[in-house]
Amino acid sequence: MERGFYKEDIEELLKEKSDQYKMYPSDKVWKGIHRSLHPNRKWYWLSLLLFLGAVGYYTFIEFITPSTSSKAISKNNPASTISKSTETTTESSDNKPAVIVPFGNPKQTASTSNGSVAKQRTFVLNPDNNDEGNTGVVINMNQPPMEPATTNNIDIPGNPILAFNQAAPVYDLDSRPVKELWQPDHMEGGAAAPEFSNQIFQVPAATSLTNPVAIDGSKLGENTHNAQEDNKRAGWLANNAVYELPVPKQKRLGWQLTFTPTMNYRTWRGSNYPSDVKTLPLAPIIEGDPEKLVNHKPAMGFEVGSNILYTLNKTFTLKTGLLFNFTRYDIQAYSSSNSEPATIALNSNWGIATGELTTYTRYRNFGGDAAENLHNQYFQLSVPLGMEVNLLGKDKIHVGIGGTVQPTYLLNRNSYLLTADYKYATEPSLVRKWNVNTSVEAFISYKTGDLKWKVGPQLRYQLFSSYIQKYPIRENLYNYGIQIGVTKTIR
Amino acid sequence: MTDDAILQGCLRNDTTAQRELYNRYSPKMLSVCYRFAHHREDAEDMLQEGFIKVFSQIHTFQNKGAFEGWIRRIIVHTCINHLKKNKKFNESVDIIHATSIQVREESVPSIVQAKQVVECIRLLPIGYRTVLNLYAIEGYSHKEIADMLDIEESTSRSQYTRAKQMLEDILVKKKIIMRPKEKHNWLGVAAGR
Repeated sequence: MERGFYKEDIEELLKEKSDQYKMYPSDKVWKGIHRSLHPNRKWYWLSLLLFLGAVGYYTFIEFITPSTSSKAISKNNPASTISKSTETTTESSDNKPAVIVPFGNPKQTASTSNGSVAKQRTFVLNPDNNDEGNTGVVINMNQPPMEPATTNNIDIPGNPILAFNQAAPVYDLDSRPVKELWQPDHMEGGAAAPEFSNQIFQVPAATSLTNPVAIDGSKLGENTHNAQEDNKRAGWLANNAVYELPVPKQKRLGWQLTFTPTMNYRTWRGSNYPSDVKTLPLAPIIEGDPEKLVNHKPAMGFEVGSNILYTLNKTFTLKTGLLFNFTRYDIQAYSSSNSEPATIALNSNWGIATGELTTYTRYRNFGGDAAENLHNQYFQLSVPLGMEVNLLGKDKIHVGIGGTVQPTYLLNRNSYLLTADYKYATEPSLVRKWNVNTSVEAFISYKTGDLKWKVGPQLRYQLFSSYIQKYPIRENLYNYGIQIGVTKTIR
Repeated sequence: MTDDAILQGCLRNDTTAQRELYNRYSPKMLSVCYRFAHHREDAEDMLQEGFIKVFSQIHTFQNKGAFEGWIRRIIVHTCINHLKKNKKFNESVDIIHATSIQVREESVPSIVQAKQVVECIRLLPIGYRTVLNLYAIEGYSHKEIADMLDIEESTSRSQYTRAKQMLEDILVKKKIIMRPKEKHNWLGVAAGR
């Protein structure tokens, strides 16, 4: 220190008295320091627990309890006062099981010229639900008519509830109760096509189904006329059009959009740290593991993606697309007023120092004029190639895992490197353009119509170092976060 | 707890060791901050920011000097950075001539109190005060001060000369010191020793 230019006794007085003087800070100072050093993470954990609890509860409800959608529909329909015996016929189309309906004249299709039984042609109602586990009803038109349902002593001819079904006889060969089936009063023109009508008559709420209901004769006549008209149309469809309808194919292609807020950091390793490089005349040798001598911190980033999915079967789905990833972490450094030389040690493939590279920088790791928070940012484009696997679940909710390998191109190369003399400098020539990342995820998905939503944790790891081999430190980026995605079935 | 034990504890991010270090050094460091700050609240903000830096940078302490000196340097740099954020400071530090300060005369104290001296320093304009603090009390050279405050070295010297003169006037008016008739005994307290 330069002293003595103006040194007089007053300086001694000032120094002595200033050093003697002590002040005691208020409690809030320590609280602020403590909060900064030991951030309270309980809210993060509580939020996570709450989220997982809600997802778990919803999953439990969906898996354990039966679907209540039909009841809900019945309750929400003010016009409907139909008794339980008819609720099964008023399910929404979304929840109806697939119904396989045979076609053709049974006499014509019963046998062929060589005596073998010809394959019955069919069409499917609710084809979206046509899979092995969800085909609830098979209708066989060759069976003899059964007596109409008489459950609850319903008077069939006088009961308007059953007036909507005046088509061909329909029988359930599955385990459904017989009460769902009926025998029409009359058939016209031999049209054998069954018809599922959602036509519902309004019945006063106080009316009991066990009692005959008085019906406006004109309305009944109109309805009867409409039913006959419908029968004619259904007969035409059965004889002409529906024969040619193929069973719809399963939609396999989907388009997926994802967004993942991530927490990012890096691993540092290498057998040849800057301090091990002994051939650097310009750089002072600083002993120790650089990882312990620098002050780096994780930071937030994100990932957005657009993928094409191809469903192989119920379990496996192939995935590819394009991802944009913003990864970063923070560096606590110090800045100086002027740029100063910084030396980057280089080594060969054998780990022996072969040279050095001098650059200029204002940022130091140890000491300086002002503290600076540098951001090492990486903007990456990737092409994920991978697969999703459904592990469990049924109907709308599934739980699965997925994984991808991602050839990656780095869009920027201006990240800070630690120099051998512990400064931070940018040197694009030492940053790798191409890399490979890998990603694993677990998810829970929920299907609503053509859309499938998914949410779950994701971990992404960069397989090769961010820097070329000549740079002594190997840096591998990683990030983790919660991925939110939506998939639309397109074909 | 020894300094070494505290240091090891702080390296492990141990709260007890951190609290011990804080309790040990915060009174002295707050008085350092107070000499630079406008108000006590500002001083506490500086102290908090400084100690957060101390704890987050403690792994860079290399046992080559006194632990207290290392902490003090961080605190002083934090104070300077804090002042630099204030536009008024950046303007005032370059002003060569400060207006005179009206100081009320007080009775002669029997014992020169440290608090009075510190309060007198705080009466100086911020630019003068900063240079005087850095040179006379913290021991930085004029070149170092010039680098820290982004001013010329000559400015630092002239600021210090004027600051010292102004402080001397204040101390005399407050009757903390007596203006020397002869150079060797101008300091009243020295004469009493």
